[in-house]
Amino acid sequence: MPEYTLVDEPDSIAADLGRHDFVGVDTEFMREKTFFAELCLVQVATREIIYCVDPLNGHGMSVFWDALMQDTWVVHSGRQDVEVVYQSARRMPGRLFDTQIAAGVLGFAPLMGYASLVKELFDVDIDKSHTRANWSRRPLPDTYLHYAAEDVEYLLPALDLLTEKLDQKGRLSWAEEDSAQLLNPALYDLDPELAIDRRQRARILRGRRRAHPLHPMKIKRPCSSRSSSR
Amino acid sequence: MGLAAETVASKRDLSAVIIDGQRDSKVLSGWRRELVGNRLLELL
Repeated sequence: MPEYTLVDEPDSIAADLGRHDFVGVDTEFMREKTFFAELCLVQVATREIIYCVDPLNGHGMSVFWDALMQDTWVVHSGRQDVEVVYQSARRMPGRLFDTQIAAGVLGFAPLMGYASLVKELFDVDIDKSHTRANWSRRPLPDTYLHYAAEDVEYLLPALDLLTEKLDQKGRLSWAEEDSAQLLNPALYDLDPELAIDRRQRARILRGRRRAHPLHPMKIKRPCSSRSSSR
Repeated sequence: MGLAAETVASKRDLSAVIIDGQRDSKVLSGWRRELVGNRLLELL
């Protein structure tokens, strides 16, 4: 089980984040009933410590986000993580390295899962049983936090190993190029109205239209205003 | 190459280039263009 620190005041770790060039990042969020996902936990791994940052307790996050965006994020299949953070904080990291993309470029199975990659690289079995847990519940059980910490524990070691292998094959720039494409804000600037329209049309096509007007999909903006940062 | 085909280009990417004539496909940009894109264009 990885050691981690639960952070209730995100801005308090900004100074430490500023000391690192690379950090492993993962998020936990809920999207079942809302159009915009609700960010519920941000895990950040440095080479020394794993932080589990709670964004739901009302403390400021502006300084935390500023510091985190200065580092290169190491993620696994990070598109949704970037999306959720972008929609919550309206910010995006300056640089990104996606270990799933890197593994694919190296010749591993396309779209390889994190657990499979960790097993392949380090011969370690990790738990994926909490993938569909209710991450908005508080307090978060220790088992959830352990799981969350494990999701970032191997990202920096994977970066080191994958980078070395990519370099040997002359494909580091390939992984960097594909990873950078995840930093296009246009990927994440979603229009809720279009989503409602798509949902309505999909229902009609499925022949499940009700006699009463269709209820638009519940649109819940994340805790922070999309026009201002926390 | 030791690289899965779909990592380079999906069937949809290739169809877009070959059948629909798209030229903004990812297979025609960056490292994919050097690897297969230029050769693909020569064949079309």
